[in-house]
Amino acid sequence: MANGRSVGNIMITGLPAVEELSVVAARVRRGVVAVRSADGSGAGVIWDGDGRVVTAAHVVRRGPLTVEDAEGRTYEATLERSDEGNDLALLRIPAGNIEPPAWAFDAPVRTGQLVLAVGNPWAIPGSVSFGIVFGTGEVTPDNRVSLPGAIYADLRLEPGNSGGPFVDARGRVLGIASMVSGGMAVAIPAATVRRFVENVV
Amino acid sequence: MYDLISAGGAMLRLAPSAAVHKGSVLLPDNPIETTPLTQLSDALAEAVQIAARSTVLVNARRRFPATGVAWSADGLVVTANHVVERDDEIGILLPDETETSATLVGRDPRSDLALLRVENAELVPAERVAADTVKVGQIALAIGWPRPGSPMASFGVVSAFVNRRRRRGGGTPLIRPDLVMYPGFSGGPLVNVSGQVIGINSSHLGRDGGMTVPSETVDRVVSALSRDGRVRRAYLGVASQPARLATEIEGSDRVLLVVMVEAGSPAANAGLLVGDSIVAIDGARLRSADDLQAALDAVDVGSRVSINIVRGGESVEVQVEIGERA
Repeated sequence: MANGRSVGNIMITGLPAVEELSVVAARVRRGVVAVRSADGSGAGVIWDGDGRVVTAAHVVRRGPLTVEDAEGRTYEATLERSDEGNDLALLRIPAGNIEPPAWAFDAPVRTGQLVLAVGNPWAIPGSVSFGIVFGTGEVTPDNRVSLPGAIYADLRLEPGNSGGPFVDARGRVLGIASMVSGGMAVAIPAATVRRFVENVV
Repeated sequence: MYDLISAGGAMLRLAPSAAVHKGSVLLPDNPIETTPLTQLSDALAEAVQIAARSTVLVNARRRFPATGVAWSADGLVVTANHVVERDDEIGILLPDETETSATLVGRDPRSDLALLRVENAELVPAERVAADTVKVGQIALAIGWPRPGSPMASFGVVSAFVNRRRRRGGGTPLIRPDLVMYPGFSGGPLVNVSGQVIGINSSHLGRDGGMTVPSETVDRVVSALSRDGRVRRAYLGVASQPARLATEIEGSDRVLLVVMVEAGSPAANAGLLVGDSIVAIDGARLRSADDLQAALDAVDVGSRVSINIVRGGESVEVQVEIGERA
Protein backbone atom coordinates (compact mmCIF):
# COMPACT_ATOMS: atom_id res chain seq x y z
CA MET A 1 0.00 0.00 0.00
CA ALA A 2 1.46 3.34 -1.03
CA ASN A 3 2.59 5.56 1.80
CA GLY A 4 1.48 2.90 4.23
CA ARG A 5 3.19 2.22 7.45
CA SER A 6 2.83 -0.80 9.54
CA VAL A 7 1.80 -0.90 13.19
CA GLY A 8 2.09 -4.54 14.06
CA ASN A 9 0.10 -6.24 11.35
CA ILE A 10 -2.14 -3.25 10.64
CA MET A 11 -1.45 -1.06 7.68
CA ILE A 12 -2.13 2.54 8.41
CA THR A 13 -2.32 4.90 5.46
CA GLY A 14 -2.64 8.59 6.12
CA LEU A 15 -3.41 7.64 9.72
CA PRO A 16 -7.13 6.95 9.27
CA ALA A 17 -7.22 5.28 12.67
CA VAL A 18 -6.53 8.65 14.21
CA GLU A 19 -9.12 10.38 12.03
CA GLU A 20 -11.63 7.65 12.78
CA LEU A 21 -11.19 8.30 16.47
CA SER A 22 -12.51 11.84 16.04
CA VAL A 23 -15.37 10.58 13.85
CA VAL A 24 -16.42 8.11 16.53
CA ALA A 25 -16.06 10.74 19.23
CA ALA A 26 -18.17 13.25 17.29
CA ARG A 27 -20.90 10.68 16.65
CA VAL A 28 -21.12 9.70 20.31
CA ARG A 29 -20.98 13.22 21.69
CA ARG A 30 -24.30 14.03 20.01
CA GLY A 31 -26.00 11.61 22.39
CA VAL A 32 -24.16 12.62 25.56
CA VAL A 33 -25.57 15.26 27.91
CA ALA A 34 -24.31 17.18 30.92
CA VAL A 35 -26.32 16.51 34.08
CA ARG A 36 -26.37 19.03 36.92
CA SER A 37 -27.73 18.54 40.41
CA ALA A 38 -27.41 20.25 43.76
CA ASP A 39 -24.30 18.14 44.36
CA GLY A 40 -22.45 19.06 41.22
CA SER A 41 -22.31 17.80 37.70
CA GLY A 42 -21.92 14.60 35.76
CA ALA A 43 -22.89 13.24 32.40
CA GLY A 44 -25.66 11.16 30.91
CA VAL A 45 -26.53 9.24 27.77
CA ILE A 46 -29.66 9.72 25.68
CA TRP A 47 -31.54 6.43 25.90
CA ASP A 48 -34.37 6.94 23.42
CA GLY A 49 -36.45 9.38 21.39
CA ASP A 50 -38.84 9.82 24.32
CA GLY A 51 -36.40 11.98 26.23
CA ARG A 52 -35.13 9.29 28.57
CA VAL A 53 -31.57 9.77 29.78
CA VAL A 54 -29.39 7.26 31.64
CA THR A 55 -26.89 8.52 34.19
CA ALA A 56 -25.16 7.44 37.40
CA ALA A 57 -27.29 7.38 40.54
CA HIS A 58 -24.70 9.22 42.60
CA VAL A 59 -24.85 12.19 40.22
CA VAL A 60 -28.56 12.88 40.77
CA ARG A 61 -29.15 12.31 44.48
CA ARG A 62 -30.33 15.88 45.12
CA GLY A 63 -32.33 18.09 42.80
CA PRO A 64 -33.13 20.33 41.12
CA LEU A 65 -31.85 18.45 38.09
CA THR A 66 -31.00 20.04 34.78
CA VAL A 67 -29.71 18.51 31.59
CA GLU A 68 -27.78 20.23 28.83
CA ASP A 69 -27.66 18.49 25.47
CA ALA A 70 -24.82 18.54 22.94
CA GLU A 71 -26.42 21.54 21.20
CA GLY A 72 -26.30 23.53 24.41
CA ARG A 73 -30.07 23.41 25.06
CA THR A 74 -30.96 23.00 28.70
CA TYR A 75 -33.93 21.16 30.15
CA GLU A 76 -35.42 20.55 33.55
CA ALA A 77 -35.11 16.85 34.24
CA THR A 78 -37.21 14.58 36.40
CA LEU A 79 -35.81 11.51 38.12
CA GLU A 80 -37.83 8.46 37.05
CA ARG A 81 -35.94 5.80 38.91
CA SER A 82 -32.58 5.08 40.47
CA ASP A 83 -30.66 1.97 41.55
CA GLU A 84 -27.93 2.82 44.05
CA GLY A 85 -26.56 -0.74 44.00
CA ASN A 86 -25.72 -0.52 40.33
CA ASP A 87 -25.20 3.26 40.47
CA LEU A 88 -27.73 3.90 37.70
CA ALA A 89 -30.50 6.46 37.33
CA LEU A 90 -33.09 7.16 34.68
CA LEU A 91 -34.09 10.75 33.93
CA ARG A 92 -36.67 12.23 31.62
CA ILE A 93 -36.33 15.50 29.76
CA PRO A 94 -38.91 17.24 27.57
CA ALA A 95 -37.02 16.56 24.35
CA GLY A 96 -38.00 13.84 21.94
CA ASN A 97 -35.75 14.46 19.03
CA ILE A 98 -32.25 13.70 20.24
CA GLU A 99 -30.69 10.75 18.50
CA PRO A 100 -29.52 8.10 20.97
CA PRO A 101 -26.14 6.50 20.43
CA ALA A 102 -25.82 2.84 19.50
CA TRP A 103 -25.45 0.41 22.38
CA ALA A 104 -23.47 -2.82 22.52
CA PHE A 105 -25.58 -4.95 24.83
CA ASP A 106 -24.30 -8.35 23.84
CA ALA A 107 -20.89 -7.81 22.23
CA PRO A 108 -18.09 -9.49 24.19
CA VAL A 109 -15.85 -6.96 25.88
CA ARG A 110 -12.19 -7.94 25.42
CA THR A 111 -9.27 -6.84 27.57
CA GLY A 112 -7.11 -4.55 25.47
CA GLN A 113 -9.81 -3.22 23.17
CA LEU A 114 -10.04 0.54 22.74
CA VAL A 115 -12.40 2.60 24.85
CA LEU A 116 -13.49 6.22 24.62
CA ALA A 117 -15.13 7.89 27.58
CA VAL A 118 -17.25 10.97 27.01
CA GLY A 119 -18.34 13.11 29.90
CA ASN A 120 -18.44 16.40 31.65
CA PRO A 121 -15.18 16.43 33.64
CA TRP A 122 -14.63 19.60 35.60
CA ALA A 123 -17.83 20.86 33.94
CA ILE A 124 -16.37 20.74 30.44
CA PRO A 125 -19.20 19.07 28.50
CA GLY A 126 -18.41 16.54 25.79
CA SER A 127 -14.84 15.92 26.89
CA VAL A 128 -13.33 12.76 25.45
CA SER A 129 -10.73 10.53 27.05
CA PHE A 130 -9.11 7.51 25.50
CA GLY A 131 -7.78 4.18 26.75
CA ILE A 132 -8.33 0.43 26.71
CA VAL A 133 -10.34 -2.16 28.58
CA PHE A 134 -8.23 -3.12 31.59
CA GLY A 135 -10.32 -6.11 32.54
CA THR A 136 -13.86 -7.24 33.10
CA GLY A 137 -15.88 -9.31 35.49
CA GLU A 138 -15.49 -9.93 39.15
CA VAL A 139 -12.72 -7.53 39.91
CA THR A 140 -13.29 -6.06 43.33
CA PRO A 141 -11.82 -2.61 43.51
CA ASP A 142 -9.98 -1.24 46.51
CA ASN A 143 -13.12 0.13 48.13
CA ARG A 144 -14.47 -3.47 48.21
CA VAL A 145 -17.46 -2.66 46.04
CA SER A 146 -18.12 -5.69 43.88
CA LEU A 147 -19.78 -5.00 40.58
CA PRO A 148 -20.44 -8.18 38.64
CA GLY A 149 -19.59 -7.86 34.97
CA ALA A 150 -18.21 -4.36 35.46
CA ILE A 151 -15.89 -2.98 32.82
CA TYR A 152 -12.58 -1.69 34.13
CA ALA A 153 -10.68 0.65 31.88
CA ASP A 154 -7.18 2.02 31.80
CA LEU A 155 -8.46 5.46 31.10
CA ARG A 156 -8.42 8.83 32.79
CA LEU A 157 -11.69 9.71 34.47
CA GLU A 158 -12.30 12.90 36.40
CA PRO A 159 -15.17 14.14 38.55
CA GLY A 160 -17.96 14.84 36.06
CA ASN A 161 -17.32 11.80 33.91
CA SER A 162 -19.77 9.80 36.03
CA GLY A 163 -22.89 8.86 34.12
CA GLY A 164 -21.22 9.28 30.74
CA PRO A 165 -20.60 6.46 28.30
CA PHE A 166 -17.71 4.08 27.67
CA VAL A 167 -17.70 3.64 23.91
CA ASP A 168 -15.99 1.05 21.70
CA ALA A 169 -14.12 1.61 18.42
CA ARG A 170 -17.41 1.26 16.53
CA GLY A 171 -18.99 4.05 18.55
CA ARG A 172 -21.24 1.74 20.56
CA VAL A 173 -21.89 2.33 24.23
CA LEU A 174 -20.32 -0.44 26.31
CA GLY A 175 -21.35 0.92 29.69
CA ILE A 176 -21.97 3.88 31.97
CA ALA A 177 -19.01 5.38 33.86
CA SER A 178 -19.48 4.97 37.58
CA MET A 179 -16.29 5.58 39.50
CA VAL A 180 -12.55 5.44 39.67
CA SER A 181 -11.22 2.64 41.81
CA GLY A 182 -7.57 1.82 42.38
CA GLY A 183 -6.72 4.16 39.53
CA MET A 184 -9.03 2.29 37.18
CA ALA A 185 -12.14 3.68 35.56
CA VAL A 186 -15.15 1.50 36.26
CA ALA A 187 -18.31 1.29 34.14
CA ILE A 188 -21.63 -0.49 34.60
CA PRO A 189 -22.06 -2.76 31.56
CA ALA A 190 -24.66 -2.01 28.89
CA ALA A 191 -26.58 -5.22 29.63
CA THR A 192 -27.07 -4.13 33.26
CA VAL A 193 -28.17 -0.69 32.07
CA ARG A 194 -30.78 -2.27 29.79
CA ARG A 195 -32.13 -4.45 32.61
CA PHE A 196 -32.35 -1.38 34.81
CA VAL A 197 -34.13 0.79 32.23
CA GLU A 198 -36.57 -1.97 31.33
CA ASN A 199 -37.11 -2.59 35.00
CA VAL A 200 -36.28 -6.28 34.76
CA VAL A 201 -36.13 -7.67 38.25
CA MET B 1 -26.95 -11.74 17.94
CA TYR B 2 -28.55 -8.36 17.49
CA ASP B 3 -27.69 -5.02 18.71
CA LEU B 4 -29.35 -1.66 18.83
CA ILE B 5 -28.19 0.78 16.24
CA SER B 6 -29.74 4.16 16.04
CA ALA B 7 -31.05 5.22 12.67
CA GLY B 8 -31.98 8.85 12.77
CA GLY B 9 -35.21 8.53 14.68
CA ALA B 10 -36.80 5.95 12.39
CA MET B 11 -39.21 3.79 14.33
CA LEU B 12 -38.72 0.31 13.06
CA ARG B 13 -39.05 -2.85 14.99
CA LEU B 14 -37.26 -5.69 13.26
CA ALA B 15 -37.19 -8.25 16.00
CA PRO B 16 -39.74 -9.22 18.62
CA SER B 17 -37.39 -8.25 21.38
CA ALA B 18 -38.35 -6.22 24.37
CA ALA B 19 -34.93 -4.71 24.03
CA VAL B 20 -35.99 -2.47 21.20
CA HIS B 21 -36.65 1.06 22.23
CA LYS B 22 -38.18 3.83 20.22
CA GLY B 23 -35.91 5.64 17.85
CA SER B 24 -33.76 2.61 17.32
CA VAL B 25 -33.38 -0.04 14.70
CA LEU B 26 -32.07 -3.52 15.19
CA LEU B 27 -29.18 -4.36 12.96
CA PRO B 28 -26.83 -7.32 12.99
CA ASP B 29 -24.07 -6.82 15.51
CA ASN B 30 -21.39 -7.89 13.11
CA PRO B 31 -20.20 -6.76 10.72
CA ILE B 32 -21.18 -3.17 11.34
CA GLU B 33 -18.13 -1.77 9.75
CA THR B 34 -14.45 -2.40 9.83
CA THR B 35 -12.36 0.71 10.13
CA PRO B 36 -8.70 1.25 10.92
CA LEU B 37 -9.81 2.07 14.44
CA THR B 38 -11.72 -1.18 14.89
CA GLN B 39 -8.71 -3.03 13.46
CA LEU B 40 -6.43 -1.35 15.97
CA SER B 41 -8.88 -2.15 18.76
CA ASP B 42 -9.06 -5.79 17.68
CA ALA B 43 -5.25 -5.97 17.34
CA LEU B 44 -4.79 -4.68 20.90
CA ALA B 45 -7.25 -7.21 22.29
CA GLU B 46 -5.48 -9.93 20.26
CA ALA B 47 -2.09 -8.80 21.60
CA VAL B 48 -3.37 -9.15 25.16
CA GLN B 49 -4.63 -12.64 24.38
CA ILE B 50 -1.31 -13.69 22.82
CA ALA B 51 0.71 -12.29 25.72
CA ALA B 52 -1.63 -13.91 28.22
CA ARG B 53 -0.62 -17.36 26.95
CA SER B 54 2.82 -16.77 28.48
CA THR B 55 1.77 -14.76 31.52
CA VAL B 56 1.55 -16.32 34.98
CA LEU B 57 0.46 -15.12 38.40
CA VAL B 58 3.29 -15.16 40.95
CA ASN B 59 2.27 -15.39 44.60
CA ALA B 60 5.39 -14.82 46.68
CA ARG B 61 4.69 -11.86 48.91
CA ARG B 62 2.41 -10.89 51.75
CA ARG B 63 0.10 -8.28 50.34
CA PHE B 64 -0.97 -9.31 46.87
CA PRO B 65 0.41 -11.41 44.02
CA ALA B 66 2.26 -10.07 41.01
CA THR B 67 3.02 -11.22 37.50
CA GLY B 68 5.59 -13.41 35.76
CA VAL B 69 6.46 -14.38 32.19
CA ALA B 70 7.21 -17.88 30.87
CA TRP B 71 10.71 -17.61 29.40
CA SER B 72 11.32 -21.23 28.36
CA ALA B 73 9.07 -24.15 27.50
CA ASP B 74 10.67 -26.29 30.22
CA GLY B 75 9.60 -24.17 33.15
CA LEU B 76 11.71 -21.02 33.50
CA VAL B 77 9.63 -18.05 34.60
CA VAL B 78 10.94 -14.50 34.89
CA THR B 79 9.46 -12.07 37.37
CA ALA B 80 10.46 -8.97 39.30
CA ASN B 81 12.86 -9.55 42.18
CA HIS B 82 11.01 -7.24 44.55
CA VAL B 83 7.75 -9.20 44.29
CA VAL B 84 9.48 -12.41 45.42
CA GLU B 85 9.64 -11.69 49.13
CA ARG B 86 10.18 -15.30 50.15
CA ASP B 87 12.54 -17.95 48.81
CA ASP B 88 10.09 -20.82 49.00
CA GLU B 89 6.36 -21.46 48.91
CA ILE B 90 6.15 -19.55 45.68
CA GLY B 91 2.69 -20.06 44.26
CA ILE B 92 2.09 -19.94 40.53
CA LEU B 93 -1.13 -19.74 38.55
CA LEU B 94 -0.46 -20.96 35.01
CA PRO B 95 -2.22 -19.40 31.99
CA ASP B 96 -4.73 -22.26 32.01
CA GLU B 97 -5.41 -21.35 35.67
CA THR B 98 -3.88 -24.53 37.11
CA GLU B 99 -2.24 -23.87 40.44
CA THR B 100 1.31 -25.01 40.93
CA SER B 101 4.48 -23.90 42.68
CA ALA B 102 7.93 -22.72 41.68
CA THR B 103 11.44 -22.81 43.09
CA LEU B 104 13.72 -19.79 43.13
CA VAL B 105 16.65 -20.18 40.72
CA GLY B 106 18.24 -16.84 41.49
CA ARG B 107 17.85 -13.12 41.93
CA ASP B 108 19.42 -10.05 40.41
CA PRO B 109 18.42 -7.07 42.54
CA ARG B 110 20.15 -4.58 40.25
CA SER B 111 17.91 -5.36 37.30
CA ASP B 112 15.06 -6.22 39.70
CA LEU B 113 14.70 -9.63 38.07
CA ALA B 114 14.19 -13.03 39.64
CA LEU B 115 14.21 -16.38 37.89
CA LEU B 116 11.83 -19.12 38.96
CA ARG B 117 11.46 -22.72 37.84
CA VAL B 118 8.11 -24.46 37.57
CA GLU B 119 8.49 -28.25 37.58
CA ASN B 120 6.52 -30.55 35.33
CA ALA B 121 4.89 -27.77 33.40
CA GLU B 122 4.79 -27.18 29.70
CA LEU B 123 4.87 -23.46 29.21
CA VAL B 124 4.43 -21.32 26.14
CA PRO B 125 7.59 -19.20 26.17
CA ALA B 126 6.97 -15.53 25.45
CA GLU B 127 7.90 -14.37 21.98
CA ARG B 128 10.45 -11.59 22.38
CA VAL B 129 11.46 -8.64 20.23
CA ALA B 130 14.94 -7.18 20.08
CA ALA B 131 15.39 -3.73 21.57
CA ASP B 132 16.62 -2.30 18.28
CA THR B 133 13.19 -2.90 16.74
CA VAL B 134 11.52 -0.93 19.53
CA LYS B 135 10.82 2.69 18.68
CA VAL B 136 10.07 5.62 20.93
CA GLY B 137 6.41 6.50 20.44
CA GLN B 138 5.20 3.03 19.48
CA ILE B 139 2.08 1.69 21.14
CA ALA B 140 2.75 -0.66 24.03
CA LEU B 141 0.66 -2.63 26.51
CA ALA B 142 1.60 -3.69 30.02
CA ILE B 143 0.08 -7.04 30.97
CA GLY B 144 -0.51 -7.94 34.59
CA TRP B 145 -2.11 -10.87 36.34
CA PRO B 146 -2.17 -10.00 40.02
CA ARG B 147 -5.63 -11.45 40.68
CA PRO B 148 -7.32 -14.68 39.70
CA GLY B 149 -9.55 -14.17 36.69
CA SER B 150 -8.20 -12.99 33.40
CA PRO B 151 -5.02 -10.97 32.88
CA MET B 152 -5.28 -7.21 32.79
CA ALA B 153 -3.75 -4.64 30.51
CA SER B 154 -2.81 -0.99 30.49
CA PHE B 155 -2.07 1.08 27.44
CA GLY B 156 0.47 3.66 26.40
CA VAL B 157 3.59 4.19 24.37
CA VAL B 158 7.31 3.56 24.60
CA SER B 159 8.42 6.87 26.03
CA ALA B 160 12.22 6.73 26.06
CA PHE B 161 15.33 4.64 26.27
CA VAL B 162 17.15 5.45 29.46
CA ASN B 163 20.86 4.97 29.75
CA ARG B 164 21.46 3.72 33.21
CA ARG B 165 25.23 3.37 33.14
CA ARG B 166 25.83 6.27 35.43
CA ARG B 167 24.01 4.51 38.21
CA ARG B 168 26.14 2.44 40.47
CA GLY B 169 26.41 -1.10 39.18
CA GLY B 170 24.25 -0.20 36.21
CA GLY B 171 25.26 -0.67 32.64
CA THR B 172 21.78 -1.61 31.49
CA PRO B 173 19.79 0.62 29.22
CA LEU B 174 16.16 0.55 30.30
CA ILE B 175 12.94 1.33 28.50
CA ARG B 176 10.67 3.94 29.98
CA PRO B 177 7.05 3.23 29.07
CA ASP B 178 4.40 5.93 29.34
CA LEU B 179 1.64 3.85 30.87
CA VAL B 180 0.29 2.93 34.27
CA MET B 181 1.90 -0.02 36.02
CA TYR B 182 -0.95 -0.97 38.32
CA PRO B 183 -0.25 -2.78 41.59
CA GLY B 184 0.91 -6.32 40.80
CA PHE B 185 1.97 -5.52 37.23
CA SER B 186 5.66 -5.81 38.19
CA GLY B 187 7.26 -8.87 36.65
CA GLY B 188 4.79 -8.80 33.77
CA PRO B 189 5.57 -8.09 30.14
CA LEU B 190 5.54 -4.90 28.13
CA VAL B 191 4.29 -6.00 24.72
CA ASN B 192 3.88 -4.47 21.28
CA VAL B 193 0.64 -4.53 19.28
CA SER B 194 1.53 -8.03 18.07
CA GLY B 195 1.80 -9.33 21.63
CA GLN B 196 5.60 -9.75 21.46
CA VAL B 197 7.52 -9.02 24.64
CA ILE B 198 9.58 -5.82 24.62
CA GLY B 199 10.74 -6.42 28.19
CA ILE B 200 9.82 -7.04 31.81
CA ASN B 201 8.13 -4.29 33.82
CA SER B 202 9.18 -3.18 37.28
CA SER B 203 7.60 -0.41 39.28
CA HIS B 204 10.76 -0.39 41.45
CA LEU B 205 13.10 0.73 38.69
CA GLY B 206 13.28 4.41 37.90
CA ARG B 207 12.16 7.25 40.09
CA ASP B 208 8.44 6.84 39.59
CA GLY B 209 6.08 5.10 37.25
CA GLY B 210 8.40 2.18 36.63
CA MET B 211 10.72 0.95 33.92
CA THR B 212 11.00 -1.98 31.55
CA VAL B 213 14.09 -4.21 31.38
CA PRO B 214 14.61 -5.00 27.67
CA SER B 215 14.19 -8.64 26.64
CA GLU B 216 17.84 -9.00 25.59
CA THR B 217 18.99 -7.92 29.05
CA VAL B 218 16.50 -10.35 30.56
CA ASP B 219 18.03 -13.10 28.37
CA ARG B 220 21.51 -12.29 29.72
CA VAL B 221 20.31 -12.22 33.32
CA VAL B 222 18.37 -15.47 32.82
CA SER B 223 21.43 -17.30 31.51
CA ALA B 224 23.63 -15.93 34.31
CA LEU B 225 21.08 -16.90 36.95
CA SER B 226 20.60 -20.39 35.47
CA ARG B 227 24.37 -20.89 35.41
CA ASP B 228 25.53 -19.25 38.65
CA GLY B 229 22.38 -18.43 40.57
CA ARG B 230 23.48 -14.79 40.52
CA VAL B 231 24.78 -12.18 38.13
CA ARG B 232 28.50 -11.62 38.60
CA ARG B 233 29.49 -8.05 37.88
CA ALA B 234 33.01 -6.93 37.16
CA TYR B 235 34.72 -4.74 39.74
CA LEU B 236 37.76 -2.52 39.32
CA GLY B 237 37.71 -0.26 42.39
CA VAL B 238 38.31 3.24 41.10
CA ALA B 239 36.35 6.45 41.02
CA SER B 240 37.09 8.66 38.06
CA GLN B 241 36.13 11.82 36.30
CA PRO B 242 36.57 12.93 32.70
CA ALA B 243 39.62 15.05 32.01
CA ARG B 244 41.67 16.32 29.07
CA LEU B 245 45.33 15.80 28.41
CA ALA B 246 47.63 18.59 27.23
CA THR B 247 48.29 16.58 24.07
CA GLU B 248 46.21 14.13 22.10
CA ILE B 249 46.80 10.40 22.14
CA GLU B 250 45.75 8.75 18.89
CA GLY B 251 43.39 11.55 17.96
CA SER B 252 41.78 12.30 21.32
CA ASP B 253 42.81 14.23 24.41
CA ARG B 254 39.98 12.86 26.53
CA VAL B 255 40.80 10.50 29.40
CA LEU B 256 39.46 9.44 32.77
CA LEU B 257 41.28 10.86 35.75
CA VAL B 258 41.48 8.47 38.71
CA VAL B 259 40.28 10.38 41.79
CA MET B 260 40.00 7.47 44.21
CA VAL B 261 41.35 3.91 44.50
CA GLU B 262 39.61 1.55 46.90
CA ALA B 263 42.00 -0.19 49.28
CA GLY B 264 42.39 -3.88 48.51
CA SER B 265 40.57 -3.53 45.18
CA PRO B 266 41.80 -5.02 41.88
CA ALA B 267 42.89 -1.50 40.88
CA ALA B 268 44.92 -1.08 44.09
CA ASN B 269 46.50 -4.52 43.69
CA ALA B 270 47.54 -3.60 40.16
CA GLY B 271 49.16 -0.42 41.40
CA LEU B 272 46.77 2.16 39.99
CA LEU B 273 47.22 5.52 41.74
CA VAL B 274 45.12 8.59 42.28
CA GLY B 275 46.15 11.02 39.55
CA ASP B 276 46.61 8.36 36.86
CA SER B 277 44.78 9.11 33.62
CA ILE B 278 43.06 6.06 32.16
CA VAL B 279 43.25 6.07 28.38
CA ALA B 280 41.96 2.62 27.40
CA ILE B 281 40.96 -0.80 28.68
CA ASP B 282 41.96 -3.70 26.44
CA GLY B 283 42.53 -1.24 23.64
CA ALA B 284 39.09 0.41 23.87
CA ARG B 285 39.34 4.17 24.44
CA LEU B 286 37.53 5.60 27.46
CA ARG B 287 36.12 9.09 27.33
CA SER B 288 33.52 8.96 30.08
CA ALA B 289 32.51 7.03 33.17
CA ASP B 290 29.87 5.40 30.95
CA ASP B 291 32.63 4.02 28.74
CA LEU B 292 34.44 2.59 31.76
CA GLN B 293 31.26 0.90 32.99
CA ALA B 294 30.59 -0.46 29.50
CA ALA B 295 34.15 -1.81 29.28
CA LEU B 296 33.75 -3.55 32.63
CA ASP B 297 30.36 -4.98 31.64
CA ALA B 298 32.06 -6.60 28.66
CA VAL B 299 34.67 -8.54 30.66
CA ASP B 300 34.33 -11.62 32.82
CA VAL B 301 35.01 -11.65 36.52
CA GLY B 302 38.47 -13.17 37.10
CA SER B 303 39.82 -12.28 33.67
CA ARG B 304 42.93 -10.15 33.17
CA VAL B 305 42.71 -6.90 31.27
CA SER B 306 45.36 -4.39 30.30
CA ILE B 307 44.78 -0.78 31.19
CA ASN B 308 46.63 2.02 29.41
CA ILE B 309 47.29 5.00 31.64
CA VAL B 310 49.23 8.23 31.53
CA ARG B 311 51.26 8.78 34.72
CA GLY B 312 53.56 11.76 35.10
CA GLY B 313 53.42 12.37 31.36
CA GLU B 314 54.49 8.79 30.54
CA SER B 315 52.33 6.11 28.94
CA VAL B 316 52.16 3.04 31.16
CA GLU B 317 50.32 -0.25 30.74
CA VAL B 318 49.18 -2.17 33.81
CA GLN B 319 47.56 -5.60 34.08
CA VAL B 320 44.53 -5.93 36.32
CA GLU B 321 42.71 -9.05 37.43
CA ILE B 322 39.05 -8.08 37.39
CA GLY B 323 37.23 -8.75 40.65
CA GLU B 324 33.58 -9.29 41.44
CA ARG B 325 31.41 -6.51 42.77
CA ALA B 326 29.97 -7.45 46.12
